[in-house]
Amino acid sequence: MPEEIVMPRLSDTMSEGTIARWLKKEGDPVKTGEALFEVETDKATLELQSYHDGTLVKILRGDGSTAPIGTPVGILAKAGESVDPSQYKGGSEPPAGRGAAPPAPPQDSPPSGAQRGTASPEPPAPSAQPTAPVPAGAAEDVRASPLARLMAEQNGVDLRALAGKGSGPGGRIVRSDVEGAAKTAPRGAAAPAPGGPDHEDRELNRVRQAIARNLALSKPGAPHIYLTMEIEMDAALALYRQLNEVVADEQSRLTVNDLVLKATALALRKLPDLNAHFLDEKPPKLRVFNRVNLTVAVPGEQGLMVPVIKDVDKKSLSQIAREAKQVYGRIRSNKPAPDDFQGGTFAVSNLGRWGIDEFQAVINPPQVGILAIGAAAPQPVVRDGKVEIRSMMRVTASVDHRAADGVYTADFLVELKRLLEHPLTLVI
Amino acid sequence: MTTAQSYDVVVIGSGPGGYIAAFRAAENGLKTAMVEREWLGGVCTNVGCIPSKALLKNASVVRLLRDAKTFGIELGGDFKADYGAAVKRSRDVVGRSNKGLEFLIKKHKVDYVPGEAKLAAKDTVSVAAKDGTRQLKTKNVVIATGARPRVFPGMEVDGQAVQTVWQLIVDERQPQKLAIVGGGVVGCEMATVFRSYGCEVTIVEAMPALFAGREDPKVTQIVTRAFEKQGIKVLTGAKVESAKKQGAGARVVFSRDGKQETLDVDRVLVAAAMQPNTENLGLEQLGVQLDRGYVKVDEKMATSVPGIWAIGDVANTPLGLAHSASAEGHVVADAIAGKPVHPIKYTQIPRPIFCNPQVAAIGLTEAQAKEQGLSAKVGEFPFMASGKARAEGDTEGVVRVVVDAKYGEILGCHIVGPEATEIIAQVAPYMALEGTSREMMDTVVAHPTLAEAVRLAAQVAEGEALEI
Repeated sequence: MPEEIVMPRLSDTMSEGTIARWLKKEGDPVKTGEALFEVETDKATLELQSYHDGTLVKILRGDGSTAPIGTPVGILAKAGESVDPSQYKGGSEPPAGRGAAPPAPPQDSPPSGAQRGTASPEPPAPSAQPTAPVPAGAAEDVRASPLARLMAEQNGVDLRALAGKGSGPGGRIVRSDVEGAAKTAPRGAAAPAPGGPDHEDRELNRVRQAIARNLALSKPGAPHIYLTMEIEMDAALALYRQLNEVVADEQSRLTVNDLVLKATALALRKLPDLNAHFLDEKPPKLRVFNRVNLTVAVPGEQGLMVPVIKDVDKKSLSQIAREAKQVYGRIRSNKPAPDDFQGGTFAVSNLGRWGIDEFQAVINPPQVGILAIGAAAPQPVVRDGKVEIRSMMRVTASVDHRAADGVYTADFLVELKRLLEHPLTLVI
Repeated sequence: MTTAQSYDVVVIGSGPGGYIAAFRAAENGLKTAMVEREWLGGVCTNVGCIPSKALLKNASVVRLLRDAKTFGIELGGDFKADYGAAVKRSRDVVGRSNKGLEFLIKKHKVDYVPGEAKLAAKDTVSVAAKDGTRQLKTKNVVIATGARPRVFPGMEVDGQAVQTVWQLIVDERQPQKLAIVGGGVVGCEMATVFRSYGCEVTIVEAMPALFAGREDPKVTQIVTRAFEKQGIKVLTGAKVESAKKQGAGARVVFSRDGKQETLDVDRVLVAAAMQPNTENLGLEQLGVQLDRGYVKVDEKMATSVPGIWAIGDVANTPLGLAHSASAEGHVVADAIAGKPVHPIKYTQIPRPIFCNPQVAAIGLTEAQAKEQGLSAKVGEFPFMASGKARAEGDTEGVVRVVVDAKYGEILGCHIVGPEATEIIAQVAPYMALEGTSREMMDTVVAHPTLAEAVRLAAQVAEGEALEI
């Protein structure tokens, strides 16, 4: 089966992307990991890599065209497959030339300049604007049973990957296909998008609703509260040094931040209302997630990038270290994986490396919290009535007050402090 | 002996499994013969499904007339219901079904070979008929020989006073007192026929409940209560020791609660169980494996010997129903033709019982779902709450829908009540197409119909009921 190359979902806020330019031409051979095209999202321009070896047989959406996520933009024949490109309808839109891609005109304004008979280049046809972001895996055009759809949604299986390969009549995807896919899916590949599975939507109780209403009057948007706590890091630093003496390979070398990530994830398990999205609907809801996927702030070429490390609570420190390194590497080389930006449930921003003592971070909506980590630096502290020198780290939680109160946030920080000051809890 | 003819497929048995296998094989381009030793159309057409439904129709007319006053109709004294005429009518229905089959055999260009078949070799079926024995050479044999009523020791079936259903169903004599050994499908349907005609009917069942306790307990309980209200005696947990002719009638001796009891009647129906027809086919010599007396088959209906296949009541598949046999006939014909085969999902096959009140079930009961480790919820809708049922004057019964708690998958449906056997038809597609309770609730059903009750039961299961 030839593979449809679809517009990837590169961030939680992305509903469509623009193909800046194709890096391969129709007929070009493609290797796994090679960049196929550049996508302009609401955040950045990123390269999309191929997941297969094969040949790009057809470009369905040309340079400069905008497509909702999940829309096929090209067809890749895998090695050994022969495909007749003419069977794919739509055809490539005329390439508009590098950098010359005119933005699609707004739907409600008449096209300007492009009058019949003039030599001006025709703007690409405005693509159908989706009325709502297409949730990953919904894939309405895939033939699947209602039960299979539901199971796919709740288990993070992308039905499009199974399209036409189901065991039902005519390749219809049925229960057993989804069960099979859920079993064989590589870790992370089945990561559910936010708004998908693995969560509980809870309507705010009346008190919280009143809090949300009132606070929005003085602080519109997500009314932040900030709580700062000092954590003694000597034990954590000692453990981190010990562990790094025995790590198997360079990739597994820990950073202090890996310890912080793990502790944050474990603390969130105890205080789950912070591991959530605030859904500003009527009535407002808190979407509390079962998975802990941490959004980490990373400096990118063009500004702040926020990739996601998934299931941090369930992973070992060395696994977190490896994955974090890989993600940072992909961001730095501008080659993120399609799901690197998906599914974040809480955020951590660490400026400790830059010697910042303490700062307040801005929540990345619809998340309800972000933790700002300062540097762990030697400080004089009072212990048993004596002044001692300890490595102190200041962490500041910014929390959407509509979702949680100061006391709940304080409990979270106390738990985080307990974990980091007894760091063996992070390894057992 | 004539010269051997050569076939791709020889089907032994012409019941609803055999004839569908033969027709489908022929449509698949295979040269096909069908051998039948007794009844064209098998038990179903001749002494099973079809004649019993004809008798049950008569029985329902009798009940309706008896109930005429409810509808303001005065019949002016008692009316005469001639049971013999009912049997004659049922035989007429059978005759027309036989004719229909003869036509279909010609239409599908299947060679029909009357006679008793035996596998002389893996590739040779010898057919003994009155006019001699013929050898049919064939690449494939489909054993579709069905099953027959099982007679346990102590039951002396004489065909007059003590009968199997095959004898009873063609007998024009109406019994006044009937004992039915076995409260299964046949026993309960015949109880309804004869009670409607005014017989004293007693069901003697060894298991603690009707239908061998296999159906939904609440459904079974409703049927049992309805039977008792109608005057059908239901003796469960009663083990029959003997049933034999006694004077002009018959006597059944059974033990219950450790005590021996006797029941004197003028007729006994032995309907305790069925047994597969595997004898005298030459299966042992060819090494065809059996499983507890039934021919062992795989998902494609292949036996342990390549080229020999088995379907229907003789095969060790889960259901002994005409329509499951037909489904197996379809599968085997496609498997022989080398077509892709979708294994039959037996939990998606409806199980109808045409007694009064009717029973129909599909899939798992709540208890079976729990045994399989599924967390199931049940939605129940009583026909009492159905406007159509009230208009019909037939409000006894319920629809119970069993739904998986996680995804809303339809795991089963259990109906007792008016037209249950028709209503169940709408549930099978949901299961086959993997529709969930959501689709069942979102699919609008015409009002006022009895069929609405299924959707309403799904709403009850999901806590979204508005009309109850």
